Amino acid sequence: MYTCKGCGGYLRFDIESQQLKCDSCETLSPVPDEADQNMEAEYTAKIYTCPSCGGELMGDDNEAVVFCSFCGSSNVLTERYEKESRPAKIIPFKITKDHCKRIYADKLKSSPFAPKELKKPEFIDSFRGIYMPFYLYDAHVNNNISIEGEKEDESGVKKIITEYEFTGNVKSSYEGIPHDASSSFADDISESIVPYEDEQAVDFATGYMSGFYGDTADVDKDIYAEEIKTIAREDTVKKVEEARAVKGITLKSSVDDQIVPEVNDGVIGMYPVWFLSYRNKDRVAYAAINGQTGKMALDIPVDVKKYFMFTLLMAIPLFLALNFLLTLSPSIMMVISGVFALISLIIAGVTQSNLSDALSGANDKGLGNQRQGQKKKTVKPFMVIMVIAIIAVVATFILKPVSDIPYYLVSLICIVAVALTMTSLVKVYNVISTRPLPQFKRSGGDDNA
Amino acid sequence: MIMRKMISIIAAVFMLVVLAVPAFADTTSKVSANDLVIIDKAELFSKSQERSLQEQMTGLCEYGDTIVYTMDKNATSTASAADAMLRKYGNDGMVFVIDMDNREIYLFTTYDGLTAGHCKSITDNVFKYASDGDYFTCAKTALEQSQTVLAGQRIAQPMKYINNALLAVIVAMIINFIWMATTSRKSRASSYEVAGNVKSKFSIKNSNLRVTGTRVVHVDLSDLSGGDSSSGGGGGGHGGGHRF
Repeated sequence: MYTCKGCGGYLRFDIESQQLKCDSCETLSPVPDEADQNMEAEYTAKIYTCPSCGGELMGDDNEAVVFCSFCGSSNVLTERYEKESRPAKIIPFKITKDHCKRIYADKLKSSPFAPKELKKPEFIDSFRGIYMPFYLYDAHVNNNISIEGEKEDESGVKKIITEYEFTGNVKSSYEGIPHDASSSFADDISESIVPYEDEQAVDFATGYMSGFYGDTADVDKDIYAEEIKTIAREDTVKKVEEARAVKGITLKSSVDDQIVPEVNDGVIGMYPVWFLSYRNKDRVAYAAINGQTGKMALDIPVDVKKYFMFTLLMAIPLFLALNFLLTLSPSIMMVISGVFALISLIIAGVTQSNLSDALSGANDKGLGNQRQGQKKKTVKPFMVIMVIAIIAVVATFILKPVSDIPYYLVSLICIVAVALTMTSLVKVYNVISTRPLPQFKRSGGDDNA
Repeated sequence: MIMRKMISIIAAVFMLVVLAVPAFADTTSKVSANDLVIIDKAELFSKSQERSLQEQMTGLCEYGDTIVYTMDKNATSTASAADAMLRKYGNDGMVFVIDMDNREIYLFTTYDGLTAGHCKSITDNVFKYASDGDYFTCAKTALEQSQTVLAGQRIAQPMKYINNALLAVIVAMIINFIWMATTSRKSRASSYEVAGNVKSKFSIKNSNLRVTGTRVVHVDLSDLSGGDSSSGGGGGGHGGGHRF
């Protein structure tokens, strides 16, 4: 903890001045350089542990931590001191809390279905500045490539196509490709708020963290090796295709499989994130804003009542427009209902696939540290009803009954099936767009929470 | 005596001429400059029913020609037969057709105030009479509802409103769901964005670009434009029908 030399007050890192600022006398002082300490592999940090989920945060001595950012529970977190790996770099916060709140509020303006609790000022005020640990990988490429291409030239009524072969030795290197190193920080969120501007990174000093929190790196470094290789490969391939040597030539093959990056374990960097959690029963939604660039990723759950109210409001002008423009015969009505049933079936299929991924955590490798135990949800029964409705449409269309009643009946079946499916999808959507309450496999977590 | 015989013969001839009504199925009368025509080739109406229909049609004659046409043989579609019948009488008016061959009723008109949507609704409303074999009620009700619409009043279109209400709700549900899903999607940073913000180097050494072959392609400059454009046939008019 840093104290003011003048009055002994608490020194907190001030984002606007990028210096330490005294809480009492507001004197500014530069962040002490810890270059001599950067040779040490570890440093002593105060760790707060949530008794509900086991989530951990590093923080200051200055104040008790009374709510958990990961599960949203209002508990006083237990404290202990622990040796932590010293990060090599840190990017200080550049976005102030007020700016962060404005970014968040502006985004929610275009989300009419979000629960009203997410827009309350007292809720938005609970954004917390957390330094998230990122592994900074180095990658390099050294491959010989051979690709074919062609170029067209027109000459009167003739087109001359010249075929080429391009060979060369491609070398590229990348220093510090980041990926989040914490199991608490969901991959889909961390991969959405990057990139950070590496040139603004400085040598790590604990002073930058004064007044903020930090998370700990607990994911194996090699878990993300394939992701880093993909980044290096795709960027290198793009540079090859844009190289001056092949300008004007249409490449007939890709060099994708000829570029094989190698990845080295890198160091840890602490990168700034404004973090907010919203808990609703057994689900939690996160909002994260890149504390350097302001790029945001957030889970937006749906207030089901708002969805239906908005639907009815939208249906009124649609109904008036349809009355003015259309008089549908029963058979056409049935076909249109069948088309919408098909559209709903496709949406349900995609949602079911996303749901399976969300429940299994297939897209979050860092979740390996968390216990999984989600309730099973599915939209498959509604998909079956939809298929039956579509078959009924086709059968009725082929049979062409004289009476209107079969057409209206089948239309009604389609419409009811679509309405039930969409209702179910909205509820399922809330599962996809939020997360189960975390249960971290760390000491201090409540196995029964 | 001879004079009496001649007068009797002349009177008889006169009576024969007057009473020999041509065996037409047409009943034609003029109330105004427009025609009211009933052509009952399928013999669906009795004489009294025809008279009743004529009375019904009188109210429509101020708008144009009004024709009720039944047939039991039709080599074309009911809509085409209706169009052709209306043209026969001068192009402007309405015709109600009961096609016993295609088992379809059709209302065809040139009136702007009686839209294709109205025609569909009216035939939707009356087809069940034709299904039950009550062709007179079918025609009469069709004429009544046409007159109602042309007089600026509304006819019952319950299924239209129910259909449109249900359609509006499910369209709104689908649109809102898609809107909700797309606006809340997280966009992951691309490889280029991530790599572009870290220190990197790139070079291609020992590069060599060699020609491996050349092809010459002759461009076909023949004019691909042109071709017949067929103009659409037929004049104005619109309608709607229903099978029975």
